[in-house]
Amino acid sequence: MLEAGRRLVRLILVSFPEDPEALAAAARLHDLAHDTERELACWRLCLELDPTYLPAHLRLSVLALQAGRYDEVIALTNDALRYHPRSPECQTMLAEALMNLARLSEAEQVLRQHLELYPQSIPGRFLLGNLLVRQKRFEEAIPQLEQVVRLAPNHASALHNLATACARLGRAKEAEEFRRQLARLKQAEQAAQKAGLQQFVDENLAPSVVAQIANAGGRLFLRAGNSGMAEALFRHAAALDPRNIQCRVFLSNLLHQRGEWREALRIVVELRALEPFELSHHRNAGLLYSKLGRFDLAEAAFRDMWMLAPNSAMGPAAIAEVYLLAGKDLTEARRLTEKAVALEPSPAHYKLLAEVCRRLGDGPAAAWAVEKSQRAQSGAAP
Amino acid sequence: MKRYLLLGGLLVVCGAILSVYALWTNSFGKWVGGLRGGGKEGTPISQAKGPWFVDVASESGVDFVHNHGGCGRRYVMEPMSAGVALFDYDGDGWIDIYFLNGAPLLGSDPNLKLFNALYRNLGGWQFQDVGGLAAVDDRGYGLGVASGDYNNDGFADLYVNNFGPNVLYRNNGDGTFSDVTSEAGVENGHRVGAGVVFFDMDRDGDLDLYVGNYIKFRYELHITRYVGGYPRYPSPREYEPDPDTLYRNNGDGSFTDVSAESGISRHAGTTMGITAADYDDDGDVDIFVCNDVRANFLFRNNGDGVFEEVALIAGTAYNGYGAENASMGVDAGDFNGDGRIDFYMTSYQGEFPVLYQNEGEGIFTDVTVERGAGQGCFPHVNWGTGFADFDNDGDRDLYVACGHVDDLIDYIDPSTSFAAPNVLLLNDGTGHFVDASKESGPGLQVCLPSRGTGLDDLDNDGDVDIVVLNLNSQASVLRNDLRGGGHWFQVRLIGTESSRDAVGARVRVFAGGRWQVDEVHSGRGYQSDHGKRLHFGLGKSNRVDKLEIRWPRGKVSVYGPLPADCFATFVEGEERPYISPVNP
Repeated sequence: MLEAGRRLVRLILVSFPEDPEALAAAARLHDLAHDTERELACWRLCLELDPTYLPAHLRLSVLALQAGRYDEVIALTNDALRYHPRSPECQTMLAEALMNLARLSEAEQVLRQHLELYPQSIPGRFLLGNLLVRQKRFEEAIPQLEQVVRLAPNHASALHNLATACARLGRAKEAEEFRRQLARLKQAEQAAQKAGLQQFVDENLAPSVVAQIANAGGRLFLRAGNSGMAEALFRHAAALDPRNIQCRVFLSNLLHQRGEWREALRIVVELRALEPFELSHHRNAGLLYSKLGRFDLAEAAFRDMWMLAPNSAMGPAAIAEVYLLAGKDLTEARRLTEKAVALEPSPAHYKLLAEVCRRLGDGPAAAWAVEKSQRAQSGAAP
Repeated sequence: MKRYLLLGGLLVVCGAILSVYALWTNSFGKWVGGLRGGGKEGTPISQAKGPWFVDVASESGVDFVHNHGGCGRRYVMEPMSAGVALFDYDGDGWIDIYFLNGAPLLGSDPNLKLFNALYRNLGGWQFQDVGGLAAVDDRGYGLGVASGDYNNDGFADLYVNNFGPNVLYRNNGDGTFSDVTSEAGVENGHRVGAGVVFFDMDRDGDLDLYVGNYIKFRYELHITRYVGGYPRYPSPREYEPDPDTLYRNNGDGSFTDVSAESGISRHAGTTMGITAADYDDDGDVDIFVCNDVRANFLFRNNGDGVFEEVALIAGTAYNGYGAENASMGVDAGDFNGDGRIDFYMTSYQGEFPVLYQNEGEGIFTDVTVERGAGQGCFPHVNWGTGFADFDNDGDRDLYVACGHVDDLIDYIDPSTSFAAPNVLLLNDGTGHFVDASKESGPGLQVCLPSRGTGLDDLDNDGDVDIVVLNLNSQASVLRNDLRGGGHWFQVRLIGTESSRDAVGARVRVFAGGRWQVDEVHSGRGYQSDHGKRLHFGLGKSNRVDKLEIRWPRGKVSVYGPLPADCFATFVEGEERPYISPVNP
């Protein structure tokens, strides 16, 4: 498998010698081979070619963090933040390094800025909670940690810190409850870790890493306009790693654009199974089913999308379009379109409403919707 | 009866020592000067202040080379071996060294002759291997060891915790030992051992025995993992954890397994290092158990032979992030001078060791980063450790032995190494540590795969030396050629109502305007034992103003003032100590 990876990397490097993505692929291969020095050299070269290349900044920072070289992490992440001031990974790594050097007030400042940008950030919120516990600011720590647990109920470290904070504040019952939850989680973790030991065997890791490399190659060839080579590499990546999302997304888009709907749909079905909570997969499936005339399945896919985002107009609008295409229950199509308009009064939705009304023979309503659509398009209030 | 005869003999010796003391108190400057130069001629000593360690193993006759007994199959216990014990087995006042060794594992040459070694300290940095003569050359697979006078006869006995049957050696008092494992009933089955401690759990005046067990291993469960094409040792996660064993001393030379009724066996862990200390200052001795890649245990002694596992509540189960460490060794000591016993626990590569600061009321906080107690340790796997005042400035420093588990790690991971330098962290007097490894002599520059570590004053010159067992390598004996160090005071306790070793006694020393506290422990660090003779650095203070002893059975004795730079023996129930500028 390593040899297959090497062949791929050679192909990518020869084709795109000046591209940091190609070097990144080589770096990943060296990582797989546990050749950290060569991996580091590749990432550094990436930054020489493109000082703004974020994956290199991130990986170099991770390696320095894992080795406990916190001053280096601070330098690397600060450098990366000059180019990518909103990078959440850089922000949290910088904070973690500062915390491990006991520079807590600086870390707190970084974390608070990070959380203003990303209030849902689990690592950022946890680090802030942990920092506050370390400073014995237990009252302040608790809401931070509680939010972590709301976002990630199985966050053992947050539960541990919550138990500590509550205990120190004399809230013994709450502390005990958090400890109970923690004990349950840790027990489950132990079992999972034992079962997961097999994951660390190289033979199991290699396919997914080589798939990443093939995927990176596919992106490079696609960017260079060689869609045939790109498709081959995306397919190779998908075959190597049945859980790789990125290569499947690229591949399905490529096939969709080429009008190879049936094959595109096959890939999208895989994506729906891999990421059942990702809206775009359901939407793409619905679109492809529609194009293939499988309106019943298209409706089902759009309904899944609507369930995941009940406040979005996308769901009802898409189902209404299916009804129009299928010539099915136009009254229901009108109801759905009106719902979409209520949720998002956009020109497209008014246009859709006009079409449904026209098909129902309701001329005045159709005219009204057309007018609304035009007004919305011109920027006036509909 | 034997015990009283010994005490009588001791008193005669002490009478002579007292007259020396009278002389000494009139001219201590001269005596001290004479002592501090002893045995150091020709040593190149830097002009800077601080400890300066030189490895004198070879020239001292300590030629012990550890062998883990493996044949390349990489059994899980190979890199875990082994511990070392520093104790005075023959009562001559010089601290001797006992090294554990491996044994041929399945697939190795069964005729391979591996045995434990006892090095008798002859004084003047000369040691002689007397393991065979003393009959403590056990051929089992040694992992953990502790010394303790379990039968209160005045002579230190030994318990060896093996992979396989364990061994209790009774000291015969004539330089030899007898294997009394069977009659004492402490074989502990055929298990993978770990640390071991003697302690008086029920304060009845004799030492009980806590025996650590690592994992449930059988050869057919062995598994080898590969990373980067290189074979690696299996994780303890591959195996079932094994509960520890607690033996109550029956007082007649035998022990009873009370693991179940004491509550200990309710908790299965992956024990490595253990220490027993009274962390909650309630007068009975509690147990800290390091668990490898699992939550640690802190067994609070209820005083009635029952223990409650409180690590999660106390804050010692995990580190400050709430994550379990690959916990290795542990020592107990007061690093910040607040009178409370703190814990320092070593850990794996990519993890900080953890300094658990005792906040009182049974609560600990991980203050590793804030106190600088992880410096130099993060890239390496850490093993043996201990609190000791290496520079005699009146606070507890830290020593950490390092070296990776995997002998091929250097080919896989350049951020760490199999043979690593050890770490010396000096306390700056405020409870903050400074990494002094690079400035503390050639003995700290040695790179070996270190494991068990013992800290004690091997040449009786008033500073703490270091002994390190190195995996599959020659042991290190690091002589401390302290430069410009402060005054010191060493304490030996003899229990009469309490156990003879006074294990569990707490000693408070007031000197130079501050209190220091220490306890007598038997079993500490990484599966090792050392330091039953308590050592206090006094800094600039040339006397101890006050010394308090809380004996294990509860009696409190107060002494002082006492002169600095000497050895003092305190006998429970006696009003005056026996003090000598040379070791009594």
